[in-house]
This record gives sequence, structure tokens and C-alpha cells, in this order.
Amino acid sequence: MADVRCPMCGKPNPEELELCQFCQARIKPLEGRSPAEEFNSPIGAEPPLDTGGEQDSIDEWLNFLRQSEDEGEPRPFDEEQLADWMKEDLDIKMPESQEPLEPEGTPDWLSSLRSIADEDAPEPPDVEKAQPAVEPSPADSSEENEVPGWLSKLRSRRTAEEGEADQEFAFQLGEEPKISEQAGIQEDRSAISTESVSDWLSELRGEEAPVVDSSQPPELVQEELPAGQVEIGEEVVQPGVGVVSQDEDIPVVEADRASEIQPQTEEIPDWLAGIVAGGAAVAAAEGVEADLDNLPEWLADLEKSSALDREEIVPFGEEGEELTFDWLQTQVRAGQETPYGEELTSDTLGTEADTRGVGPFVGDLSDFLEEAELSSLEAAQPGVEQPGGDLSPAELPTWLEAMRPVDAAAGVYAIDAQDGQVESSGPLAGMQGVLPAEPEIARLKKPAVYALRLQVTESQRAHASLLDELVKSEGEPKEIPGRPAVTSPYLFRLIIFAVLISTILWQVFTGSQTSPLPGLMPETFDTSEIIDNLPENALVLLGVDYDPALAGEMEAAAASLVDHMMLKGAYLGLVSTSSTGPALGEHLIATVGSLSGNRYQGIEMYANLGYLPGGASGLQAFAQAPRQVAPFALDPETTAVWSNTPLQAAQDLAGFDLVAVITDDSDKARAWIEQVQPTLNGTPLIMVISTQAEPLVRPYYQANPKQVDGMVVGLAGGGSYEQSHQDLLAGNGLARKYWDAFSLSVLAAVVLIAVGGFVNLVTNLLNAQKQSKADKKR
Amino acid sequence: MKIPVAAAIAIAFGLVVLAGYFLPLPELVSLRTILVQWSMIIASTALFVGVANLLRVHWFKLRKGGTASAYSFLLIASLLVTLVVVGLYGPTGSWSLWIFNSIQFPIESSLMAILAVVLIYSAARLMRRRMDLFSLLFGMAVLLVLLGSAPIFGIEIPFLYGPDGLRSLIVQIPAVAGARGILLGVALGTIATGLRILIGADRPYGG
Amino acid sequence: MSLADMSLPDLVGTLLGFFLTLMVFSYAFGDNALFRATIHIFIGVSAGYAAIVAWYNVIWPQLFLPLVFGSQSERLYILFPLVLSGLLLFKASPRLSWVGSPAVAYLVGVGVAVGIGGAILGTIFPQTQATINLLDTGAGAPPDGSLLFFIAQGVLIILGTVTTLIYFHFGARNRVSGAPRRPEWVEFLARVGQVFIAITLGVIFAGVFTASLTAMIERVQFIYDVFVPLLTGQ
Repeated sequence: MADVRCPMCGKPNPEELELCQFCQARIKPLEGRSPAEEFNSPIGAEPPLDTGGEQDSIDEWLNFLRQSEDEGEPRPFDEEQLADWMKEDLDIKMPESQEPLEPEGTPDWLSSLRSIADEDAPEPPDVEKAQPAVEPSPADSSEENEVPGWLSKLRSRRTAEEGEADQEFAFQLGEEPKISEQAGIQEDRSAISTESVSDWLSELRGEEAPVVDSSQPPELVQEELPAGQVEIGEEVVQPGVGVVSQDEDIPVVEADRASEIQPQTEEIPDWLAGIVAGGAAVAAAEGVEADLDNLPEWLADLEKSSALDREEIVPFGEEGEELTFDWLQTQVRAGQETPYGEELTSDTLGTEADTRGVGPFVGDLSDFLEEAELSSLEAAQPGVEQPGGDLSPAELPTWLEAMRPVDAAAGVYAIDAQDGQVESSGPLAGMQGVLPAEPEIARLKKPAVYALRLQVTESQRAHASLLDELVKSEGEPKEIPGRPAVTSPYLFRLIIFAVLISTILWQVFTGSQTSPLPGLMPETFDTSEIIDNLPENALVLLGVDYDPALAGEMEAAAASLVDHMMLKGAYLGLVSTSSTGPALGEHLIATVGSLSGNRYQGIEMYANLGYLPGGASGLQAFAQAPRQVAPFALDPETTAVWSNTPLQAAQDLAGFDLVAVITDDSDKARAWIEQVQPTLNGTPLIMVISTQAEPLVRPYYQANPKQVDGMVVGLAGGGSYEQSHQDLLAGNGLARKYWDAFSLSVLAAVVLIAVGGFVNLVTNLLNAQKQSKADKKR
Repeated sequence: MKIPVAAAIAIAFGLVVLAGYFLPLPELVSLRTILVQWSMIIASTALFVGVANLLRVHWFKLRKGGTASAYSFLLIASLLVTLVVVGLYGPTGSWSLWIFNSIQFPIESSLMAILAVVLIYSAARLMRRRMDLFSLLFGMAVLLVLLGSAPIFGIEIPFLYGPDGLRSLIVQIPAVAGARGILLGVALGTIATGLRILIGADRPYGG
Repeated sequence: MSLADMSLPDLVGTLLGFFLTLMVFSYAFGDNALFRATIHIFIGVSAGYAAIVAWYNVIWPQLFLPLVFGSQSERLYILFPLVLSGLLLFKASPRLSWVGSPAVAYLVGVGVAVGIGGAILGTIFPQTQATINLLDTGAGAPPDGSLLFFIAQGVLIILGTVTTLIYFHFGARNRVSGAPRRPEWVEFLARVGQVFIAITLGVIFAGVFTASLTAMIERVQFIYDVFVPLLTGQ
């Protein structure tokens, strides 16, 4: 008979032995079972516990467990009904001599849960990639058989944890109202429920808030609710923070747990991984150093045994080996009081949540700081994503060392020295490792005391203080520093003004008229032709739609054209959509008269129809019914123009021979084109426009068919018109008068813009250079 | 109660006027003409209300005292004098035109003249504040159009000045293209904004 | 006309205009009391003039004249604007300004409808047609036969018009990361449109400047016309 070497201690054992005679490790692998079998089997030898009552949308596995409960079989845990002390004992104090537990595979529900979680969990894709294969392969199952009994038991807890995860997931799917939702407890922890936290995480935190007192059987729990606890449905919730299970007096596991949580998170579902990572980040931020030397004796033993097991327990293949080991390690070390990773992380989160609501910046902590902290939680998740299968927990990378949730686990797990106690009565009679109720009940736990300070670094605190001061300083009046009387912009403006004025004055003073006026432009030619073709005593509607501000330009541009009309003997009807239009019309007629010597006076020669209020509406009304809208002229006699003047021949605007609009505003020009031009029925529309309106009027002139039949643009247009009709204005055209000054001052302006622009460009470049140098120095 | 009334008025009359543009029904066109004419009358009243408000504001400032009250006094005085004189002689009366030609015309023209200084200054500052392709194009267009606006020292620069010069090309081709796009964009924006008002989504009249 | 030939009111008016011009020009040396005083005078005069013009041109002949001297039908005709005008007067009171809301709503509704109608019939249809016709050699080709230039000009204007319109297209899809952004091809065409817009704005700027420069020339000429005779005693 060949000896079989124990995979754990390496010592030879007889082949028929299932367990190592030296170290009690399993030598023969357990047969892998189908998920169905796994499901139908009782989960280890765990003491049956009440599930805590009926739930409407409870999952299949839980129904099954209930069914098995009815059949008198051991029932699965409902960990929320289980007191912390009981969890500890069930986890840790299972005697090593106990029969090995039936191994468990990964049941269907867990697989499906993980697959759903992988699909739906709001984790980055690389997290999913980092998730190890959970489904055990047949080979893995055989390896799983080697799990010692106590570890199997822990794994069964793991299963229960997964079941709870499933339930959690069901909550997210809306199958079951959450405890937190029922009790509104989440509001108490709203400090961490910011928008930057995923819903599931927020819900999870809210879920963790209540502490279910399960130190007594469910019936007792419902009957003897301690003060301050609230019964919600079938769950007992303490509306405080989740600190009941955290005993400050109990020695704590600190450092090495942090290193183990990380690998474990690779095994756990995404939602849980996030929590663990969050806890890890918080703990790492607290900067608590690991202290392996301070481990209590029992934990040191566990550490040793775990170290032995590390090489041997290979339940899930190479990658799963480490993972399984890790979470088992975590269960062993961290699960003294809370056997589930979830418990562990919820506590850490609870701690974090508690500290969030207090401290120096309670209530007035800036949002960005909160978000920064939350993002640090999320940022810690890449640690979870790291494939941990090839990492030995003893050789953690430095970055992972730094992320260990040392403080997160502090104060959570108590060490109980009551191993070996045997339950003498009740459903747990005969079970070893089950704590007697009395001592534990008597051992009232004080809520753990946590530092009620916001966990911020010094630099963060400094920044927050700075921000606080900034915000405060906003409300304080400050003296506006006096501006220097002479600044470079001021000087530059003065120079511009002086150059322009002197240039113009020079030309005006010399009376130079040497610059040639522009030749006949196409648009001016068209305009000229239209006026040339006007019949004798034509009716011309003259829109005087400019402001006094640009009267200088508009009169210079329009004077020759108006004079041309006068020479043709046209009867002018002046109208305006500007309130100053009537006066400007009179000014224009007077100016043209004074220049040309043609005295256009009286209602017999022109009618000032006045002002059309309402902008485009006024124009539209005038275009539709000019007789009703402008019945009287603005002459001293208030003449009814449509009956007593040549205008009586015009029933509407189409009755005019020409509509000429003088405007400096592209909007007004557009209003004339849009509202009046369509009603003209072939009557030409010409425009004398300012250069500032030209770009937006020219498309109407360059259209095919034309919407504006002719244009005179600005001083150059007026000059062009004067040039083509040199007899107009008796040769005293305003454009001719201004043209030389205009020519020279335009050149001066170009030089000023070019020089000023160049100087500013160089200054800008020099400043940029200085800035970059300063940045480099920094 | 007042809110629906105002909205109903805006929507109902607006739709009638709009329909008058597109439906060749003589009655509708007549109705549109009447409605638009009424709006002109009401706009005149609005102008009066604006002037009254201006008077009220500066009256309060005058009563407050201080340096600003002197300016308010000038404003009120000039306003009242104008009201009286122009009211008596009519808008085209000789004294009314005297006020206009002696006060309003020179002030407004001078304000426009001083704008030239500001424009040169801002054009030069443009290179300092922003330097990219589009500001470069903008600056080049400004300089070329200005240089092509008039002969330099009496010399007509070829390829720049005149009907076939670069200035004319810029003004007649790319500027027309851009301006046409802008005009169409403005028209579309007018329609979009107007329709929002006509369906009651926007109520800029205080409803 | 020299100063000596002027009547007293004209002379006073010219001198007044001269000093007011100088007061405005004093702004070149910075904001000052003279400039502010001038501006306040200007606002007062222009407001008063506008009010009287509105009275003379619209309110009296179209509102009160029919009301006082008109027939019954004419009175009925102006009843609606009369009521709304009355309501509008309440706008002067901050407390009762809501009473004037219907009148403002009427103005806005009609104004908007006029704007839409004008934009469609006066700009969108004709300008779109004009853009389409740009390459219609039969309709608008120059008789001298520079067909290539005609086509190139038409293509450029069409390109500029379309890309400028695309520039004003702000529809964008939400992206997973970052701000909403237009599709790449739209972005490219919008950049082309931006070139045309930059040139157009440059031309507008040059136009505004030349307009103001002309105003300055007119003012300087006015100053010269007043100042030189004052100096020479003519």
C-alpha cells in the first residue's frame, strides 16, 4: 500500500486515510457535486437558525432553505438575525476535531448572481475582467474537497453571504423593499449618499446602517426590543449607526487583514468588492500601520495555520486557489465577529459614514471635498481589479500594502477565548463552538467609539480652510485699488484720438480735394439708372431711417441722389421708423437745398409723413394701408397728404414710382425689404446705406432676382454718385468735401491698428514667454 | 387669471396676423392690417410710458440729492423744455428743429465720432487678447477692406482699390456668403423664437 | 454760410452744437462731468422729441382725433387700441404693472407674427432662391462671358452660405464622456463656415469704423467751420 503525502504537511499517510494523521488536513479530494446536489444538501453542520420570517420576494435558495427548515434539517443562517458574538463563535470556534464538512460547490444561484452582477454591476469593465472564474470546474471540485472542515464551514458562510448578496441584488431589481428604504435609515447616512456614489452602493450603505440584533432567537428579538431599536417588518433595526457589533474593548485585527481583503474582493461580487475597496481606501487614508506583532495569540495561531494552508488549499484552480485562500483567510482573521466579508466591509463603511457626518466640517463641508473623498473610495477600486491570483499575500506589493484597510477593520472583531464550549440545550445541543447565550447576552457591548473627525489630510484641511477664508472674504467689502491716472490704454487712446483728429484737421485745413473719387460702382450705376428712368413728377417714397449719429455719412452718401430726384422733379414722401426721422428728413432736405441751391420747400414739393412706431409692425401697417397709417403731413398745417398733394395718385406703396430708403441700420434695412418690398409690385426699391450695414444688405442686392434694385454705400458710394453726376449739388458734394480727409484718416487708422496690434502681439508673446519660464522654474 | 388672458391675446392675435401673410383671404388680410395698425398705436403709447418712466426715475434721483441729482436735473429740464417747445411748434417746427439741430444732432454725431477711437483701440487689442486663425482672418479682412476703401495719398492701389480690387472681391463674395448665412440663420432664429411665443412656450410679456 | 450771415438763433444753435461737440470729445481724455452732463441733456432731448413725434404722428391723429371728432364706427374702431393703451399706462406703476400685461402681450404677439411672416417671405424664400440661382448661368451670367469667374463666385457663395448656416447648427448628441459635441463632419463644415463668418465680421467692423470715421470727419469739419470764423472774426 503506497503512502500518500499530505499536501499540507508533506508527511506520508496511508492511502486509505482521508485525513492526514499528522495535521488533519484532507488528503483525498472530495467528490465534486452538481450544483443541484449542492443546493439540496444542508450547508455544513451549521446550527439551524431561523431565517427570520417570511419575505415576499425571497429568492429560490432561501425558499429552499426554508423548506429544509420545515423538514427539520439544519437551516441556513440569516446573518442579520445572528448576533455578532454568535457569528464569531460559529466562524471561529468550530472545533478542529469536528468532522469535515461537506464541501460545497458554487450553486446555481450564486453563479447566476455573479453573472448578473458582472453584467449589471456598475463597475468598470476591467473589474469584471479581474473577477476570477467562480464556477468550479470538475478539477476544482476535487481540489475543493481538500478544504478542512472548519474552512468549509466558513465557505458555507460564504455561501450564505452570497445568498444575501443575491437578496441584495433582488433589492436592486426592485423585488424587495430595502430595510433602509422602509426605515428611512439611509437618511441618517446621507452624508455618503452623494450623487457620485452609485445607487447600489448608497443602498448598500443604507442597508448596513441598521444593525440587526440577532443575539437572541427571532422570537425573542421581536418580543424584547431594546430601547432605541425599531422593528421593521421582520427585521430589527437600530436606528443609530452600525456600531453595536464593534466593541472597542476587544483586541482588534489590524494590519494583515487589510492585505487579505484585497484579494478576497476578487472573489466576491462587484458590489461587495466596491465596498471592500472603499473600506480599504478609507483605512489606508487613516494611515494606521499594520502591527503584526500585536496580534493576539489565537490570531497568531491562525496566521500560522493559514500559512500552512496556503500552499495546499486549491479549490478553484490556480487563480482561484489564492482567491479562495484569501477570502478564507479573511474569514478566519477578519470574521471573528462578523464572519462575512460583507459585515466587515459594512462596518468599515459604517465607520466611514459615521465620521463623515461629524468633525470640523460637519454640515459645511464643501461638496468638492465630499466628492473627492468619494472618488478616493472609487479610486481605490482599481486595487480590487488587480488580478490577485498570482500575488502571495505574504508578498504584497507596496501599493497594496499602503491600501490595507487597517483601521477599517479595527475595533470590529473580538477575540473570544471560549473555544470548545459545548451547547447543552436547545436546537444547538451538542454542538461545539456554540456560545452559550447567557454570557454573551450579559456581555453588553458598548458602541465602538470612533474618531468623530473627518478623515482628511493636512493638505486637504489647509485647502478647505483656504476655501473657507475665500468664501468669507467674499462678503467683506474691500477697497478698490485706485487706478493710476495715466495708463498705457489711456495713452494709446489719446494717441489714436490725436492722430485721427490731426489727420482730418490737416486735410480740412488745407482744403485738399486731390484724391480721386471712386468710379462708378455697379450698385451705384443701377441706382443712378433707376433715378434717371423716373418719370417726370414721379412719386418717390423716401425712407429717412437713420439716426443723427450717422447723419454725416448718410447725408454725404444720399445728398447727390436726393438732389438727383429733385432735379427730376420728384415729389418726395418722407417717412421713418425712427422718431428722429422727421427732423432728419427736414435736415436732409435743407442740406441738399443749401448745397445745390434747389429750394425744396413746402407741401407742394415734399411731404414729411413722419414717424411709424412699432418698427417692422409699423412698416407692415404702412405698407398695407399708408393712407390710414400716415394720414397727415408733419407740416404746420397738418395737411391731409393723400387728398391734397400729388400723393393722392398713390393708393398704396405700389403707386409710388420709387421707394428709396436711407438707412444706417441693417435691421431697419431688412425690415423694409421684408415688410415693404413684397408689396411694391414692381416698384423699384433702392437703398442708401451706411458702410456698417453694407455686408448684411448686399445679399439682397446680389440676389437673383434682386430684392434691392440699387445701392449707394457710404461715403464711397456717395462719392461714386457724385463722380458720375458731377452736375449734382452744384459740384459741392459732401462726399467730395470729406473724401481726402477720409482717405488719409483711413490710412492713419490702418497704421494705428497695425502698429498697435503688432505691439500687443509682441507684448502677448513676451508675456507668454515669461509665463512659461516661470512655470518651468516652478 | 391675468396670465392666461395675456397669453391668449398674444397667441390669438399673433396667429391671425401670421395667417394673414400666407392665406390669400381678403378678409384675413384686412384684419391683419387692422391689427397691425392697432399695434402701432399701442406702441406709441408704450413710448409715452417709457418717457414717463424715465421722468419718474430721474425725479426720484433729483429728490435724493447728491452729484447725480445735477445730471438728473439736466435731463428733466431738457426733457421738459423739449416737450414744451416741440409740443407747441410741432416736430418740424423751426424751434423744434433748432433744438434738434443744435443739441441732439451734434451730440449724437460726436458720440459716433468718438467711437472711431474706441474701435481702433479694440482692433489693436484683439491681437493681445486672442490670437488664432479666425482672429487673424478677421484682422486681415479689416485691414484689407479699410485699405481698399479709399486711395492712399491720392494713389489708387491696384488689386486692392476699385470695382475689381481685392476689397470689392472680399465684400462681394466671402462677405456676402457669410452674411447670407447669417441672414438665413437670423430668419430661422426669428421663426423659432416667434413660434415659441405663439404657442405660449415663451411669454416675454410678463405672463 | 458764415457765422456773420447767421441769424441769432442759428448762431446760438451753431455755437451750442460746437460746445456740445467739444464736450463729447472730452471723453477722449476720460470720463468726466462735462461728458456726463452732455449725455443727460441728449437723453432728455431725444426722449422729449420722440414723445411729441409719437403724439403728433400717431396718438393724436389715430387715437384721439377719431375719439373726439370721429363717427360712431370710427370710435368703435379705436376702442380696442384705446383700451389696451389705457392698460399699458399701468406699466408705469411697478405695483400695477401687471394690468398692462395684455397690452404688452398684444404688441409681442403681433410683432412676432410680423417678424415671422417677414422672415419667411422676405428672407428665407428669396435668399434661398437666390442661392440656388447662383449657378444658373441663364439667369445671371454676365454678358461679357467670364463664365468661370461666375461659377467660381457662385460656388464660393453657396459654400459660404451653407457652412455658415451649419456653424449655427448646435444640435449635438450626448457623449459618454465630455460635453456634447457635434459630429466630426459637421464640426469641419462649421469651421469652414467660421472662416466666412470671420471675414464677414471683419467687413462689418471695417464698415462700422468707416462710418464712425465719416462722422468724425463731419464733426471736425463742423468745428473747423465754426472755429475758424470765430478766430478770424468773420
